[in-house]
Amino acid sequence: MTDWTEFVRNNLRLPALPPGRECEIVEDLARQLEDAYQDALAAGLSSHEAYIAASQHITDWTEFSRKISGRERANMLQVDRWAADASVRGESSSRSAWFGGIWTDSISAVRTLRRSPTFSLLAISTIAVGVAATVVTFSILYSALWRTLPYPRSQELVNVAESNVKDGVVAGAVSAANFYDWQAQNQCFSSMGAYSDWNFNLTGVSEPERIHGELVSADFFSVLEVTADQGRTFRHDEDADGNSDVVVVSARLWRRIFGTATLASQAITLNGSRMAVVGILPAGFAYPNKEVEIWVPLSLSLENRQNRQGRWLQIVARMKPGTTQEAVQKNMEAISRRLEQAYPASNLGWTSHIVSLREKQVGKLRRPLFLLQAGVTFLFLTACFNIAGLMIARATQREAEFATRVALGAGRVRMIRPFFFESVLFAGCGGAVGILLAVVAIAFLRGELEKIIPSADRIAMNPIVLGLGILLTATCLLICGLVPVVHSVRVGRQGHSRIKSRFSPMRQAMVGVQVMFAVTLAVGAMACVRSFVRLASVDPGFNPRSAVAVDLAFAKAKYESNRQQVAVLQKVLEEIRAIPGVLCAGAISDLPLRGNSMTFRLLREQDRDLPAEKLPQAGVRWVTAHYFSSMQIKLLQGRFLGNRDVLPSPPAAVVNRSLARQFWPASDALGKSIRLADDSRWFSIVGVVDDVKQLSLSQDEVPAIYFPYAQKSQAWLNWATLVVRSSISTEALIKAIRQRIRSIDSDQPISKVEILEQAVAAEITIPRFAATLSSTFTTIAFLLAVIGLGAIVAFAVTQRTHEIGIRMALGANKYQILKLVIKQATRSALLGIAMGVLASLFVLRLLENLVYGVRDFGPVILAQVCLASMLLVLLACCIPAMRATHIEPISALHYE
Amino acid sequence: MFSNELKKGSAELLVLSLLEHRQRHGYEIGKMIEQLSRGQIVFRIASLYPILCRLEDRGLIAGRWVERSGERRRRYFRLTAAGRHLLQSQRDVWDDFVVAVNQIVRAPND
Repeated sequence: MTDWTEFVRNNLRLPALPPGRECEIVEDLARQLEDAYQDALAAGLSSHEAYIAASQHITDWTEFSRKISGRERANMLQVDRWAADASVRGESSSRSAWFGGIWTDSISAVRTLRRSPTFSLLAISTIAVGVAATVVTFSILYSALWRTLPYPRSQELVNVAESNVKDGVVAGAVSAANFYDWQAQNQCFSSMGAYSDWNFNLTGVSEPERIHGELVSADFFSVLEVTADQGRTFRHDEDADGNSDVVVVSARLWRRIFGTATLASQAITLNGSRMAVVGILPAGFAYPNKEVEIWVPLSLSLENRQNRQGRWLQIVARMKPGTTQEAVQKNMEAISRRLEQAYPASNLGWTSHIVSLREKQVGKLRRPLFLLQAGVTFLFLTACFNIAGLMIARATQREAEFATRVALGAGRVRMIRPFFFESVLFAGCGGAVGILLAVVAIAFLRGELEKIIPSADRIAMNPIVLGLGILLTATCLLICGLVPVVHSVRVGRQGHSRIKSRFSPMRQAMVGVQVMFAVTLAVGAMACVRSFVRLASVDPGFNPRSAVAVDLAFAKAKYESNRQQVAVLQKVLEEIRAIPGVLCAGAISDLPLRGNSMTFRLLREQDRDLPAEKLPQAGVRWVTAHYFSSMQIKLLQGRFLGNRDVLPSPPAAVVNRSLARQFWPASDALGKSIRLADDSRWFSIVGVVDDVKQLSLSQDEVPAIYFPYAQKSQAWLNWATLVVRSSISTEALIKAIRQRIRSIDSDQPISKVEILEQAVAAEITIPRFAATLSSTFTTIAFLLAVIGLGAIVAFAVTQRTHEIGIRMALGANKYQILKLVIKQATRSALLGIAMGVLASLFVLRLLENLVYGVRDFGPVILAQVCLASMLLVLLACCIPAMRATHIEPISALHYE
Repeated sequence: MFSNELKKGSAELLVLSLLEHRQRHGYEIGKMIEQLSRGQIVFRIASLYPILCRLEDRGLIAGRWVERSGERRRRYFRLTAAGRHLLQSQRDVWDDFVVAVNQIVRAPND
């Protein structure tokens, strides 16, 4: 009996098919031939005749093998031709044929997707990540920059500030007298309110607390059009001098103190005074920031109302409906000019400065957020172009099919439709997954981002953000779909054979664009990384290890005089020093790295005749004994301030290196006398200490002077930050400090406890975030670009195998082949690098004010990135190019 | 017997039609065509098999192996939704085509 499987296997030649598929075909054919054989036997034929009859089913095995091995599959199906004919005829059936085609194409797209799962997964996940990243950053950008503020008609709200170009003050605080004059004289605002940060000690509760509060004028709430949830806001008479025994509290604070009780003549103790709670604000109201929990009337005395020198108020105002910001600016400038003429001593050079409330709140975030968005968009586009490149590669593999279809008269639409459906599928799935990912990421990131962006709690997926997601998906569809479509149409026009030998310019362009994006991203990322590394290695001027900072503010009612304040601080420090394990403890008025530095005018002996405004300025800090040793700040000359520097000892002061150098450039600062412009006592300089980073790690120290806390004459200075260095655990130390302070004064709250090492680390949180994020983007972008380039070269090498074979047969050596391949492949990449460098110059300029040190290392980065990109490009080309040199001329000539 | 050209033009429609109501294996399809056309249309395996492959590649028919007791397994084909849809529209096209051709072939030529 004939073994039909063996028979088929001996005759059939299917080299292009995977072995699994070949086995199936063999089995199927064998079964059919056997059926034919059995039928013939049943019809009465002899076994030999039946064998002949069955084997007659396939006579030309070569032709048959060719037909089913795939080469002929590209031929247009008869049904396609019918569809084409029907569309030409334009009859009613044409529509159904066309739609039938759509259905067929969509099914075919799904099958294509399933047939190459790795490619599909790669393409879909690339699109998904791109869409998700772009949507998430956009949701941050949108909530921070464009979403309306949570106040009625918030577009009418502006911040009014005072600027003085000569003194370098831009949008600074406003004096009380100027505020009241503005309020009386302006014609452009429907209301104006003043406020100033003012923190309070809340006592009479289980744990005394330091509460962030605001002193506000009576109109403050009406400007924002906020009404109390329970009770009321302030009446005008409560803003009068001496009447400020009422408070309005946030819903959060109310819940913390009174739980779920409703408002009914409750009172709280703030700074030792009983204050009646007259209103509870709606939950979520937070102005000027989220920390504020209590609002107290400004209630300035007549003297304070007329003060024009002290500028300490922030102003929020509501423009009259229909008024433009320009008109407001004009009106306010006119008032400022009048005030300048009337009060030159205080107002000379000062003018008003109007910015919208939104600008005031988020202005600084705009550029970093836009840059982040630009980076993500670059990444997204890189991903799109990469997929487009891959799709062209696939399209190129099907060039023979296109050419055959065109030759058989297939229409252009019919030809591009399968690609369109594939793109729809990729973009659709990728976009949908991306949007879902974005929803999850937004929920996850919201908490993390609150540390960096003030309005992070409002980041959410809303119709506009969703709209962007859909738009991105459409863009993706356009890029991924259009590029291969244009390619296929070109193939259709020019014919298979002509295209084949060429190195597709469209794919080259794709690679060029990807390299450009990658280079631009890399320059931005390198700037962020180098800046981060530099910041992380900046010496803050003190040793943050094993030190804790504790903020204290003494209630004015209890510790009104300097003597009382100094005494309580002294006692607190003595108690803390007695804690077992505490090595050293001191205190300062303004701890470094908090962004604060009080600046005063100082008088040297040689400046006695200078007018007040010509006197030099310097940062002024008050410190207790052992502060410098607690911080481990380096002593350069003389001695630290110590226990002996108390009243009535001779006034002593310590200056920092910058002040010593700036105030006495030619001589020694030690022993010199200096005083504050508004303090008659002369202080003798007893020591020079090293500079510390007072404002931030990225800002250089200003000239500064340290006075002994125990010799201060400023009773308003009722706060201090303790610095405690110990050998015990931080938790135990903080607990012990709390106990010791409570033992001295049970009503004394601790405003803030900070581990210095964490405070220094917090300084580099944003740079670290920027560095991590941007380098991740760059890595992905480069990876995509290199893969894209590698694929295009590999493909080109495969296509030119025959040509390379001929060249080698004619005597070309490996070096020449390598050169041939690399030269052609690197052209587009080099052009991409050049374009990237141009774009990077622009990016570096944008980063100058945002990233620490860009000016210093910009050109170096540019050179490094160029070099690295070229090496990567060479690497991407080299692997397939090396393969080209290993082509055997004989087998290459047999190729195709 | 019809010419190869005529057969080629209609082969796919014939296969799709035969699979409309039930699944069949490849050899059975060829036999059905021969029987139903009373021997007028005959497809050998060499012609029919590539057509089945192409139709399957396009997602118009789907094949699967079916095992029956005491027999070696066979590959059966069924019409997919896309195939069914196409068959519907192509039947109309075929009818229109036949009518159009008849109008010319049967019309008295002046």
